[in-house]
Amino acid sequence: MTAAVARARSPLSLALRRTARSFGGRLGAAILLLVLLAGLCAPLLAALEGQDPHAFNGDLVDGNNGGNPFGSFGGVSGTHWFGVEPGTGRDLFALVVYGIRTTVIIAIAATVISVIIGATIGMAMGYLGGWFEAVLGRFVDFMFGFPTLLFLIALQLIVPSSIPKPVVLTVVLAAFGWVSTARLIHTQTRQLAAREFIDAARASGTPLRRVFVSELLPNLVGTLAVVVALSFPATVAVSAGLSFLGVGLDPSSPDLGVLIGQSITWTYTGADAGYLIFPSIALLLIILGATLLGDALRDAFDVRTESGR
Amino acid sequence: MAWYLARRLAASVVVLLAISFCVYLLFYSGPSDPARVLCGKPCQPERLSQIKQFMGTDKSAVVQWVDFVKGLFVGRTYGTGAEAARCAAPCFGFSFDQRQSVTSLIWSRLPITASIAIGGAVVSLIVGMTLGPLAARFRGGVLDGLVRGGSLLLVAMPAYLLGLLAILVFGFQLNMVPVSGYVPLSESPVDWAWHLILPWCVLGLINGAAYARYARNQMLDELGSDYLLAERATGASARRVRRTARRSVWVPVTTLFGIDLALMLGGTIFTEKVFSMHGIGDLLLGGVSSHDLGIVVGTALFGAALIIVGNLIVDIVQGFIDPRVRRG
Repeated sequence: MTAAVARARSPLSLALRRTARSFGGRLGAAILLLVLLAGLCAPLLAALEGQDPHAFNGDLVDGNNGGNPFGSFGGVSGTHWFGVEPGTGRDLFALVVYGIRTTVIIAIAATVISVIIGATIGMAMGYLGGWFEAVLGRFVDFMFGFPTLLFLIALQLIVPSSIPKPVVLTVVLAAFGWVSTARLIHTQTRQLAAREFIDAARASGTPLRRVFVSELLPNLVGTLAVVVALSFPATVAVSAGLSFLGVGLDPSSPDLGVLIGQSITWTYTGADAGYLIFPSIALLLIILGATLLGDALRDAFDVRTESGR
Repeated sequence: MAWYLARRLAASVVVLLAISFCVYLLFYSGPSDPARVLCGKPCQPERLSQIKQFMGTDKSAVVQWVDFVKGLFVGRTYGTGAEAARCAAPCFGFSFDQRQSVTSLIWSRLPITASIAIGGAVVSLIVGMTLGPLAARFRGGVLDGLVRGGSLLLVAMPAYLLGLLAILVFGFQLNMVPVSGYVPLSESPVDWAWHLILPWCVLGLINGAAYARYARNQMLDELGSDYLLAERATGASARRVRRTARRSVWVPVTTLFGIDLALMLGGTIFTEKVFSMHGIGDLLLGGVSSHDLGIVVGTALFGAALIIVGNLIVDIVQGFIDPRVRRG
């Protein structure tokens, strides 16, 4: 990079630098990176520990004591770093890292799809205006206060069981997740659409696709970064929540929500709480890290989100 | 005002009809056949068509939707003769599995969900509207730091996680409070509250954290505004200025509160699951696991109706408070 370019920084790189300098941004990025890495390297980490998330170890749990693991704090030891699951004796560390992987992959896929849909609709609303904006605006307003969770659960009943559960979960999450993106992008686009360079593009007969991709999109990068960073943790929470309720992934899949959901059964047996604590910390770290990073990005890009909640 | 009310009311009815129409198209022309579920295996074709006729699923999804809307207003009867099942208005559908109207099922579960939701909402309002303005007053201080850090953590925390941790700590480790089950208010008000205290605190803390965060930022915005500077210039005490600011924070918070309450009345699903209470959320989950389309569709539509009514009430209240809303 030449010196001249380095002096004239783009707003994007300025905002990214502001994010990198803020404490919350750094902490959030560090936490998120750590957990994502653990998920990405799940097979490696499990191999390092020498355990398999699917292997049942009946000898490690006390059948005479409600299936509680032998040993202190849920059977934590050198071979089982987080102990084992009560009842089945599956290795908890392997389950948690594989669980992070499942949860994160589904959430990333759903977030990407929903942001693409939401950004396209939001841009179209803001740029095209007219009845298109009016009708979709009503719809978006309405969807915003919609009991989404009820319908996410209800939909499980009519989805054919032949479609794999992770795919179903991703699609339904994306189908309901695009609304907040569309709303935010819509307001931003409307402000942009009143600017001269958009007028110029319109007047010179630039094709619609070019206006979207080369004129609007580069000016929305910051907002999109904020949207991604803030809708990712929300998606993680809902996806894990559905699996927790037993209407998301199959109970046999290694997933943080499933793990926490199954822990209800064990909570009442009075077993050591490792089976709940470890997956919970992993889930909380993902959400917290992404929220911190998202908040820092929002401040840096100076994007006003809905009511700041 | 009357014109505004009429317009809002008409819009709400239209939205409700639109949702129910989409839901019927989606759920009753999909691959899931409620008659087949009830028929069991083996299922004779004559018996299947009999059941279909009884349930009304032999008709197209659109006709079924018309039947549903009619049932909402005047009630409806399934089947004929001795077997006929009456579903009184407002009929949200019928559970052929439990031989009960969905309305009566919801009605029987509503006290539990309402107890959790209203109590939780009150706690969250107290937590949020106490801590938020306090944090704003002592901006940058220890309390502010605690509120900001705590609310960040709590907003990130899923309700089911906090609930399970609360059960572990207060229920099992400290043995202070009961961890599950519901006692009706009419049976024993003390036991009722005692069994609900943990769910209330969990919901109250999580929603209250969001309110606190919102109220703090809103309060700081207000305190920096010109009209409050003007009030200070008239020689009003700092305490009086804060009171004025607090008043304008209440308006947006009440809006959030109304919508949240309506959402929660539709089913405090996670809380009910964690604390093993059989409210409306539990009804919906049970309907999904027993493949009872009537319950699932009825509960989901009931939840949607609550939200719409909640929005309507919020709009009306705001219309009274702020004349600009009426014209908008």
